[in-house]
Amino acid sequence: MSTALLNASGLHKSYAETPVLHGVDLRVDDGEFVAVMGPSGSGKSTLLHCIAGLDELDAGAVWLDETDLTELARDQLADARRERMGFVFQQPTLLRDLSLLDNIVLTSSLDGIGTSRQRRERAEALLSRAGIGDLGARMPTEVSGGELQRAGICRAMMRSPRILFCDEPTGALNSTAATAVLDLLVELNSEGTALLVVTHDATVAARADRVVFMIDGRVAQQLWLGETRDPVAAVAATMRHVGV
Amino acid sequence: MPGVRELRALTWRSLRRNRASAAILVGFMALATMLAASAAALVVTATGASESLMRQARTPHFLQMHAGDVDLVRMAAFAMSNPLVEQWAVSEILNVDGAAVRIVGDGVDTTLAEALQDNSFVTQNAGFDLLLDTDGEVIAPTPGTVWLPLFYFAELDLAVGNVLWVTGPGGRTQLEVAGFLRDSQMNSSYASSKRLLVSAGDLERVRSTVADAGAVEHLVQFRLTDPAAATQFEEQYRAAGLEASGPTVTWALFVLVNSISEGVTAAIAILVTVLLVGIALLCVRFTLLTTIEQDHRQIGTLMAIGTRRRDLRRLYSRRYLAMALAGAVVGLLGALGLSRVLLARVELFLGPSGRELPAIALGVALAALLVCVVVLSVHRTLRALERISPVRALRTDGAAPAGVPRRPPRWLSVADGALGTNTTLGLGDLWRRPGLYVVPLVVHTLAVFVLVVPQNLYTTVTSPGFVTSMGAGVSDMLVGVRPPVEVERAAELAEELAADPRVERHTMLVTAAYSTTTVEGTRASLRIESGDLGMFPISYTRGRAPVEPGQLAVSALQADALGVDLGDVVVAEPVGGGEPLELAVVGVYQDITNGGRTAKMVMPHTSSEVMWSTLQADFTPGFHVGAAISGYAATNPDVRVSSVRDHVAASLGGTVDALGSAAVAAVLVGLAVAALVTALFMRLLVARDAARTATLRALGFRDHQIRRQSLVRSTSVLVAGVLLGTLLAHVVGGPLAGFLLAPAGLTELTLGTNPWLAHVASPAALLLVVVGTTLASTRSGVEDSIALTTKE
Repeated sequence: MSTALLNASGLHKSYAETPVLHGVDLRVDDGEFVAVMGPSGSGKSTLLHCIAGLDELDAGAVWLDETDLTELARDQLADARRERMGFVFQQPTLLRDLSLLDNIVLTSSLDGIGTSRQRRERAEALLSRAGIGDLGARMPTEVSGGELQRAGICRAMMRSPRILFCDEPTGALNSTAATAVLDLLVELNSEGTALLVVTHDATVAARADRVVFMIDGRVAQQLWLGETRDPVAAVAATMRHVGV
Repeated sequence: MPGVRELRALTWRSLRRNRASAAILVGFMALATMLAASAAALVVTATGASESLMRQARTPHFLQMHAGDVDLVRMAAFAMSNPLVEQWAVSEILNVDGAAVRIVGDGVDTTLAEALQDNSFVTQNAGFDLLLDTDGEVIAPTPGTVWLPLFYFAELDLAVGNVLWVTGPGGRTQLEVAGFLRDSQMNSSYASSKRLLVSAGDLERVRSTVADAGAVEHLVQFRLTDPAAATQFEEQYRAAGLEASGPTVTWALFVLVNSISEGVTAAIAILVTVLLVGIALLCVRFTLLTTIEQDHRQIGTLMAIGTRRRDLRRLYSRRYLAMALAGAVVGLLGALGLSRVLLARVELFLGPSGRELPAIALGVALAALLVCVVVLSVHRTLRALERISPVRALRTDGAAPAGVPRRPPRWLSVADGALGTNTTLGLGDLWRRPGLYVVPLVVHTLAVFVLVVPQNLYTTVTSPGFVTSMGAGVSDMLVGVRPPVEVERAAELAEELAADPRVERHTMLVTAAYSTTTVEGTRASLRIESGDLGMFPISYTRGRAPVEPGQLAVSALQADALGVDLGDVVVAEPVGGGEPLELAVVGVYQDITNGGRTAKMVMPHTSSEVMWSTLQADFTPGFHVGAAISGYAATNPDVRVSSVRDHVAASLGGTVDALGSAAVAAVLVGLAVAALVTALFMRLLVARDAARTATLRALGFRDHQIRRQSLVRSTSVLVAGVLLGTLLAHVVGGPLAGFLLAPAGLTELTLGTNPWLAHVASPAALLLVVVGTTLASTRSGVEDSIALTTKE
């Protein structure tokens, strides 16, 4: 049996009296790729933000390994995000006044991990792996959206996190760029990094081990893709079935 | 119109969101309006009051001073034949050395020398050039009384009932102060002469008292049928070859002199106003651009649904119009209070102006002008709206400005920087957006300047060595022997000092009266101090101390008055007869003692008219100087025994206290402005950088690490401001202080610095304020929810 890396239970969240999450339970195993799908307003992004500690929960618990994230103070939560999690957002959130390389080494540099040379070498290796090895010195405004998103993934991977949280990582990209980004994420997953990806895109969800469908702040259904022959068709069928 | 409701909501939301920024902008606007309106009231009232006084006093349109006799018959013939002349008169004035006029009363014992003016006893004129009382009535002094200029009432704290003594070779004349007069010619401290009004009989008594020590001059005065023709009349007067051994003054100069004192105050207020308006405009621009960035997406939406740019502009400008109007109203109310303080002096010296309404109207007009300037600046800044593309605003978050940001140098690269990530990010921001930090830099520079210059000035005038810049050497004890104490007492005291085993060294300097001729040919009195000038040396701004007979050092003011400089020869004729001295000027020094016009030599006096003597002494180390001074003061109650510090305090009068208060006020103002501007900018930066902050927090930056980046930014700007401000204080501070203190006789001033105060305590105080304000202002913004700004 797989080990649970992340275990969220009984998550409740409301915005201005409007309930968004109704007692959601979610588990992500070590090295697992979980996709979350649902219509707009179903609470999938809120679920991701609450699990990652970017937003506060009204009730519930989120365990990352042996740590209950909801019990951590702000600074401890910041440390956990920096050291054990990685984030990829729909809009690339690289700091526009830093080069791609500087953006990638940011948190390692903050904690003084390794020498500056070692940090630089690791960042350059990540950039090469993402297919943008010659763009490290460029500023974010000087590269394309796909390249920017790949740089964002490099930044997220710099500290080798156990889990990567991705919120619509291909949502703002054209199909070529989206494929490149998705391939990179799958490759990282195959090397042991767990992924929790919120997406509207069935082709993205079809690459996951498991797809969680959300409706109105609740988990409506889960689909284990495993050895499914046509995962895209399976995802599409389940979407129709649950009304996503 | 589509989107009006949304726009209004946007406006109010932005105002609510930036409440502190709005309050600070209103504050700056209020301060600027208050100063501008007060300066306007001051100018209007002062010129009105001056005109009114000159009308009541019937000030002459043309005045010729003359040091010799006047041929009245010839003058009358000229006046009768000149159609421009309406009235004319020749009046006599008796110049008396200020040191010879002592005033004693309840808590007062002073001589007029303290006020650094030329003093003349006069009688009331008939017909015009009238000396008025504070009710505007023409004064008719009764025998035995004297009316003093209001200048002395203000400067020397005199009161009605004080007793005035004039002493001279002819004995002593006593008069009672009956009141204070408004003199339409010589009211201002900028007029270096003052008239003391007595009855005709008393003028004769004073004349016989001062005998040779007094100098008679004549004022040849004309009222013209056409005041504008004063210049033409002056040419005719010159062409007629009439008496003219002295300065000429026309109506225009009287107007100027009467208004200049208030004019300087108004000029300073206007300068500060311009500065405040400048800061306010920069703040408005910064706030507005930040707001537009924050509202970028909503603006894009509103444009997309058809809102016209004109309507967008109008709604933004309305917000600033409201803030400017609020500031203007508060400022005008403040001006009512401030101008009451500023106008008190005008009313005292010049009387009522009768221009209250125009003064208020001008203040309101200026306030309206300031509001217009703000609105115009807002309109100009709102051109930024033209550059917003609805498509771009809707597709991206749009808040980031277009273009490639300034690439940081290698040492500011996070990958290579050895300064630490937060410091690197903070400094990188300064590098990337230097224009943003210009306003805090300018404000910090000015704050340091404002903090340091008054401090330096205070340090300078209170340092024991400063006395050497004032015409006296540094010694432990100073003893002044002045009339009515007999001259011989000085010699007795010198013997006493010589016999005192506690006294290490001492000297006696004797001042006697001479007269001389200026380069313009007029007679002038000259007080020369003689003795061993090397024992307790003073500082010379030019040249050196006299060391042998035939050499003379003169004070800067005396050199100006005589028109002499190094190398010139002064012929000093002893008052009361004696052998004239030919003295070559070898040194010039600054002196604010004894009227500022003094001279020094080493050769013995030939004048028998000794005015006073000064003894200076140093005590053997180990003795308690304070106790020794107190002992001498107790055993010699008839003479003035003081320490150097007392001497400085006495010589500078209220100047030291005023400088002390100014220094404290400057510290408070400087710190308050630094705190306000730091708060404003940090709040705006937090709002502007909300997305960036959220990203950093999502990446795992702790709150204090993000605040440290803000601290690096604000303290770096402060450090630059401290360096620039200190440099400015060094370069401009001395001349500025010299300019302000020139009327007190300090024309060339080298500012001293207390390094501890100027370079440690003041920057440390500013640092504390800036750090505290930065931490307080960035707390809420940094701790906002991350998800709100990162999720899309």
